Amino acid sequence: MMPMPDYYEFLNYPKIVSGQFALENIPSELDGYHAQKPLVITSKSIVQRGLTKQFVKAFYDSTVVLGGIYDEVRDYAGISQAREAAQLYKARGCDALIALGNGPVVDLAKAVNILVSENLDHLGPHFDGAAPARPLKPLIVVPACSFNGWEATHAMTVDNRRLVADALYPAAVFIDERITIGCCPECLAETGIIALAQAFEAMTADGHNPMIDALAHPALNLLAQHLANGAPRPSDSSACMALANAATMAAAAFCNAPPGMAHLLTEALGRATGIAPGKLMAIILPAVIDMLQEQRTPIKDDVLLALAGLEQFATSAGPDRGRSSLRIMLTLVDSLKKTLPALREAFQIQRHLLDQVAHEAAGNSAGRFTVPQCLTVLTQAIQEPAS
Amino acid sequence: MQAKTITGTSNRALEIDLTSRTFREVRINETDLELYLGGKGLGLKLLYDRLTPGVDPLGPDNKIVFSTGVLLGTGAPCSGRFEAVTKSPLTGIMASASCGGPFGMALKTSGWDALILNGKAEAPTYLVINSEGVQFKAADGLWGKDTDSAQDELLKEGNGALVIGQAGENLVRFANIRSGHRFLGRGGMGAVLGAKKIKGIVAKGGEVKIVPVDKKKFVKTNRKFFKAIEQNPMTSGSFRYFGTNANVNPSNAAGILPVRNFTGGSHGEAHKISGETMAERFKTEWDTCKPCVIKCGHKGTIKGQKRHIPEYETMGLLGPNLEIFDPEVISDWNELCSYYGMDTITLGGTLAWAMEATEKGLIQTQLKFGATEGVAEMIRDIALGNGIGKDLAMGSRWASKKYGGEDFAMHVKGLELAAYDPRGAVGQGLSYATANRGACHLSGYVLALEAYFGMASPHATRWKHYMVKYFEDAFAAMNSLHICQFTAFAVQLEPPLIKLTADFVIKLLNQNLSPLALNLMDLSLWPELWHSILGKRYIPYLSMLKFRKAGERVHVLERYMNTREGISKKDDTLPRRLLYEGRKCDAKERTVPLEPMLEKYYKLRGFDANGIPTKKTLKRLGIEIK
Amino acid sequence: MNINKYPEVKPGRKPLKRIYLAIMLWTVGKAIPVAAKVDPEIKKEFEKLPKNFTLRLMVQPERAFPLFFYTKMLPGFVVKNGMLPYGLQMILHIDAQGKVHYQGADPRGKKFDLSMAFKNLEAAMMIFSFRESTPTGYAHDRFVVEGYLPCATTFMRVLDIVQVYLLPKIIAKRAVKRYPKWFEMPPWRKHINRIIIYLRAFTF
Repeated sequence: MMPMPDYYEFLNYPKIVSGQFALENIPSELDGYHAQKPLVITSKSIVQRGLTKQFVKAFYDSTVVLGGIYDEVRDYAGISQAREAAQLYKARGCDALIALGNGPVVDLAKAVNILVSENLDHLGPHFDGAAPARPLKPLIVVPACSFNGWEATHAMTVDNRRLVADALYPAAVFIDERITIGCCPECLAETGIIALAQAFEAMTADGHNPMIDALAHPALNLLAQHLANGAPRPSDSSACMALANAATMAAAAFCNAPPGMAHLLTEALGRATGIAPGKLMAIILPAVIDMLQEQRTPIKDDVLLALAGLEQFATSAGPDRGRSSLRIMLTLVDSLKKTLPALREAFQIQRHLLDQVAHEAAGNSAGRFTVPQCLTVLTQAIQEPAS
Repeated sequence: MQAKTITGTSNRALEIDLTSRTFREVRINETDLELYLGGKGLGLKLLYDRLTPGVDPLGPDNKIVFSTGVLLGTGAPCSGRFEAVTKSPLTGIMASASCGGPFGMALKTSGWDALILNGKAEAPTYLVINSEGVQFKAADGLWGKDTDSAQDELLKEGNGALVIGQAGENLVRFANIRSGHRFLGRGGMGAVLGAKKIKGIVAKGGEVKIVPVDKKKFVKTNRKFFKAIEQNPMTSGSFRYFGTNANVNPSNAAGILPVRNFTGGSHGEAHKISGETMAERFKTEWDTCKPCVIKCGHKGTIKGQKRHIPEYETMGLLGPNLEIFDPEVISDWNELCSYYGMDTITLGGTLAWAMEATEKGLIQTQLKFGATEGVAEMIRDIALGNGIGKDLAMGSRWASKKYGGEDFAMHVKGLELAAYDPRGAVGQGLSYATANRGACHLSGYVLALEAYFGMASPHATRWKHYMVKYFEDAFAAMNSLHICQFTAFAVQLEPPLIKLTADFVIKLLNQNLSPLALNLMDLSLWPELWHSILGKRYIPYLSMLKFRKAGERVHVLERYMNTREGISKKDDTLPRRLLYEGRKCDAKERTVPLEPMLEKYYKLRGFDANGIPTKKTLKRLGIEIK
Repeated sequence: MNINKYPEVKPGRKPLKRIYLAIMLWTVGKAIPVAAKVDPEIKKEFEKLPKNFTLRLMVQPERAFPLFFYTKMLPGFVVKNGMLPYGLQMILHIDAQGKVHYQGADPRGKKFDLSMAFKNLEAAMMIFSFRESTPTGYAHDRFVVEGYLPCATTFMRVLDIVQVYLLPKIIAKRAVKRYPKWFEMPPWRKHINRIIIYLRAFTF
């Protein structure tokens, strides 16, 4: 039964438009904000895949003029590029921002938004603690295939520093199959596993609430249905759409919940080693689940309902449901092994770094996880399997 | 007491356990010497046999090996150098550094070919080495002293000393180790010694004499060597009279001088720091390693003091890279670095990052491009660990991970770039990306062909992978002899075939059929020296090929050791600025097209698509897989 | 930084889709008044609407779809009575006697009591190329309604019936919410009314 929490807070701001011809709705959405000239921020890989051409076609027969397509973002969002984009924004007299892509592209767009809305040259005051309070310019996010989980949320990572503020929520997220179509199985698998971890951790976190469950539940459900079959087939648009939606929902749930161990460890280890978080999650998530199994941590029944559906839920006994849901999680992660093989370099992570990573993760957990717990999980994660 | 004579090499290494304060003699395997030549190669092999992957570079399980090489002590030209190898605290992977100064000679003439340090001393200690072994002495009185005074103290007990300064004691990740007026500069070896609580190592020296087995051949080869060095315009001209700063004007002209944190490639005021200007301004005289016939080291009168003239890298990275063109100020900073014991290259790269980060609001410091205010104070703060100096002491990779600005942190694998911008010489870009210790310019000095001698096209990518591999192997072999890398100008360019062929013909051949062109190069002077000292039979051409293969072996072993620490293709890259941002000094605003060169390089080296040496390659080179 | 590396992008047009939609809207607009005369159900629906009522079906944004270039060359009565397709709007007026008139595609000088707008050209294409039925389109927010919502529902019912008349079953089935059973619309009535509508709407 759904317990009613004594107190909770929840915010998920962006309007989500998902489906066929979703992109064509952007002009009318911009019209609602009285914006006519957005600056598009994207990356070279999106341009090379021809997605920008598709994107521009969506603006045909509208009165919107794109102020420019800034495509210099690659794998890093930094203040140098944010300033350049802000300069372009001001020079062209733009009044809105569109981020076409994922991860660093969206982070950069959020940074540009702060620079142009508050007329700043750098983000120093905000990194020192001042959160952007004013409503910023309308930011529209059009995600492409590889999510890092933070695009549609109120967090931004620029220059390796994370800023979290309600004002950073994008105005709208448009998920269109023409753009979310996968570029390669690895990206889809990374997206899927991050979304899986986020949805699972949101649902099992202390202090979860009905709103988080409402978003994490369908996310887990979609992932359970589409992850194993969809990840190896990036050209399957229905699977890509399902994964994209699942990722958005999982992120919305996760950003309202305290961060889980898998997430904290992945971020800290990614920072220490430079390996992509999606690849690290493939080895850390199973280790976290093993830890939960060993400690016999009680897992809510709803998780099994989301992952396996009503039939399996109804036929399993109450006490077994938690264990079954963990088994299903492990199966899902295993199914990605072909697409996302744990890389040799993931197992070559230097052991002396683990201590530092465990300390960082435990520190960021605000006391919910201890250093020995984190270290145990990390050590297990980087042990090369016997085969 | 008459010195004992060693013919060839003693094949003795001294292995010291600092934790238990014990030592033992280790016999160097003949096969290892044959395969790895000595110097860097042998040092790496000794480390490979002992070091467990994944250890903390500043922990007691890290080891540091000082390896002298076969040539040292024999009087071979430019042989007064030795090599150190360890796991670097700056990069977390293998670091090797070469150094002149008196320590190498003192260690060799104490009867030891190599020195291995394990463990960690409980309290500050210094070591005194003689032919019997080592004495462990308390360094309480020395701890906290600068390198000058500490070295003066230590040299009372021997002919050559290695010493760290306060930077090493405070575990500055790019602290260096001093030997005379030279340094084991890169990779933070000073911090490794500092973590082991070793303030210095003195070698008595003068206890043994090293003579070559085949004296006649040795003398004959020496003569050929001297002739080549005297004939070559670089070794007998530019470097001899103007030092390494003779490179400033050609670099400026070729657009490879780093300006303002690598945003520019040339500057109108660069001539103020050129070797020619300084020779005249500071009335320079020679201040060299012994025995050196090139004599690139100079000292001059700066601000009324006799000071060693800063080398090109220092000038470039603490000069135009920070938009400073006053050699006196740069000399002040160089002196501070020597005093505290810090690598000027990493310091220059880190300061440039800090200036740009300050400009962009990522950190708050006094530093500004083109301004000298605050730099000396920051150097002190870095050495002593004060304020933000503590973070900058970790190097620009760590600082940019913490504060942002990764897109303008100019390092590869954590080691900062040397003073050559590869957007003006793309082969050097590949070399930076694939060099084993990080952005090392000495791994394969291809830019000399591209930017100085006109023997390769600076922006073409064709065959650059072959050039880089060739020079990496040659230089790895050279560092295993051990001989100064500047002899490469004489050895490679003086043979008649190269000398008498017009540069444009060499360029044409090199750019279109590099394997043929480079294989026609005669490197035999180097292996001839090695063979004559050990009395081994020298077969023309074949022995040279064996020498090059030994170099390949050394390079691949180092690479393999790095891959055990997690290095792979994702790390063989260049800073984003070099890959994606063009410069105004280049009309076409070109960047370095790394990817196509890298793929070909991996295939040529026998690495898989992820840059890991395959089992087949390791077997072919005789490297035991651990 | 050279901002000319990132030029402005003025998105183009899809002329063929515009022409197609103009013709479709014109066809429907011409057919509705005739259908209102011959079909009793449609007549009943229109009686529910107030008198002197003007409604339109259009594609947004209005500014992006000016009248076709040749409109200026057409005589006034052709424009006023919508005798040729010339824009992406369909304007219907119910006069004081309850008679339905098609008033072409020119919105200038008119006041609208009900305005139903497709949010964009593709949304209109989805409905008028029958990839989505009208009620599904409404559920997907493909078009927005300004004005009195019950009137919009009435109009959509009218549109359903007109589409059954205008289109063959195989297409109309996808376009309408529920294709009427044979006893609701006997085939003989359907075919006769179809012929009447086509003849009267497009000949005079």
